[in-house]
Amino acid sequence: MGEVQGSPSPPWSDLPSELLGLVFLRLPTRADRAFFHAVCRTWCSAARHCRLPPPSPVPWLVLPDGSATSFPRGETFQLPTGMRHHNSYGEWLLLSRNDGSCLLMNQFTKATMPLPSLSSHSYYQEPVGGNEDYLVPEVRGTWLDNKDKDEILVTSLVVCSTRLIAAIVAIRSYMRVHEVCRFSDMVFLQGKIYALDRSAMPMPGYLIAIDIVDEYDSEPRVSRIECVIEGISFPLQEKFFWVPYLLEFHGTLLMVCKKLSYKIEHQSGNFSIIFVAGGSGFVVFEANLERHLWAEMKTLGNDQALFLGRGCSRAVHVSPYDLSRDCIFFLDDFTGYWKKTTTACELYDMKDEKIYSPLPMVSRKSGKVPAIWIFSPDECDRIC
Amino acid sequence: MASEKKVVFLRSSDGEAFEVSEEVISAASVTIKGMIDEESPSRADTAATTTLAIPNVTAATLSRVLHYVNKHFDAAAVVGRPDDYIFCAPGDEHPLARFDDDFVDVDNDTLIDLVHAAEYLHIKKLFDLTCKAVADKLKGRTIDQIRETFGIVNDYTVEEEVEVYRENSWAF
Repeated sequence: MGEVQGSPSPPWSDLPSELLGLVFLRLPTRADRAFFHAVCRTWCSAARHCRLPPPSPVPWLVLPDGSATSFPRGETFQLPTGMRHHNSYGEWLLLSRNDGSCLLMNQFTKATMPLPSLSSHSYYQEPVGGNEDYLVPEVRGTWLDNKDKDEILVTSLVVCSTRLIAAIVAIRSYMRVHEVCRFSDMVFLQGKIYALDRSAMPMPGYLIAIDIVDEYDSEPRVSRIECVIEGISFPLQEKFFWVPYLLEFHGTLLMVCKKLSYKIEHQSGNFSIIFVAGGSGFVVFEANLERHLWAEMKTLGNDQALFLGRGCSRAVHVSPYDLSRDCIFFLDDFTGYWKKTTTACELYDMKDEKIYSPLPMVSRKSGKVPAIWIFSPDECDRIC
Repeated sequence: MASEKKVVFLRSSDGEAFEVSEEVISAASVTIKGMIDEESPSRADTAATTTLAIPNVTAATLSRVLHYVNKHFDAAAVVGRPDDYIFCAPGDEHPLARFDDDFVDVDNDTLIDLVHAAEYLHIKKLFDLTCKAVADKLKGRTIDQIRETFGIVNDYTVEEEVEVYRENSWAF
């Protein structure tokens, strides 16, 4: 036994800065990292100087006025004048021109895909499986934001192949504030379109699968429509309204339910529902297609973040050291209901079940197209 | 074949010597592998075993480190995937996850000694594990609790502390 054995361990504030930085990087939540700075000057300086991993790429946020920003890099671009955006699919934006014609544009390569006018869409040739409910109603509406006409809303868009693009189209009546549409979100996965059917409300999660036959020598057609999951058996609290999102995750489907609080306002005999902007919580479910049920997930693993937006949700790969892992970024994406005109992009951290607002507020008027995400090709490659 | 395994002795700062398989410690510690490689030309022709001085690590810490190394780097002992499992999701149990949890379930001073030893010996897995264990001790605590646990003197004024916290609480 040597005599130096009793030498005291170095005090914690004297830890080498580099080492403190490595500890800092392993703190899981925003609150923990903020506290770390406030412990003492040495720790603050260590946290400031530690080599953070390069920030995970964040998708571009396209704001209702047509300006787009990338976070956290802060690059911006503006949509071409005379174009309105309606929704997105990965790197593709659905745009309409002033004459009502529409197209898909890849914002990064500038490639475009013309789309047929909505009024010239074709119906299914035959009723499928007796489910006549699923036949597309005739679309009468306009892309223009005209107060006296019904407006077309594309609430979800999926590019299945170069000749098959599926969309969930809703009509917002100029008589009423809100839009009515049976389907809320959809995903194209392994040759099938999966869609969430709202008719089983208030319990979300009624999932249908639409089999598509898309062979090069004939028109793409629907061969079969079936219900694959009859909704969740999970008891969601009743005082809230649940907004479901559907997205692909590691080759399977996730349904993320956003909890919205609401209040009912009475005005001269009428009443209207006013949603409180922001979300108050999230529940994530993974589809088990063999057992026909939704299974709740408490974590996305160590390297995934979710970006939720109406019809444009995606999972994105992030670094395990990144604060964004296990986070759900979300937008106020319900149109027509909001009382307040300033909305935000916020995030829900599944690690501590708290909501944070790391991004600037987004100002917009109620009733327009909500802010949407687009994903640069780089991000699209990394999407699982 | 086991009898042919070469061993080295590591001498701690307080003079205690520990025997360890050369193959195992070379796989684990970049620092010791470097020392062995430097020594090897001179020992090729002799049967004498090497003793390496580890001046920065006490016997108490070194014996813990070797316990960890033998568990993780002895090929016969490693089951399953030997890759980085530090970030395993809860429930996604690595065979050694339990061992690791118990290994870093020690008092603060022992833990910090392990961090320093892992850094000096350049044992990446142990370094990751111990840094994460330190982070786990900070996790979910208030600023005052952190200071108290780790015996840190607050050198901020109240205003400065509020400002620093505010500034960093919305970090992306």
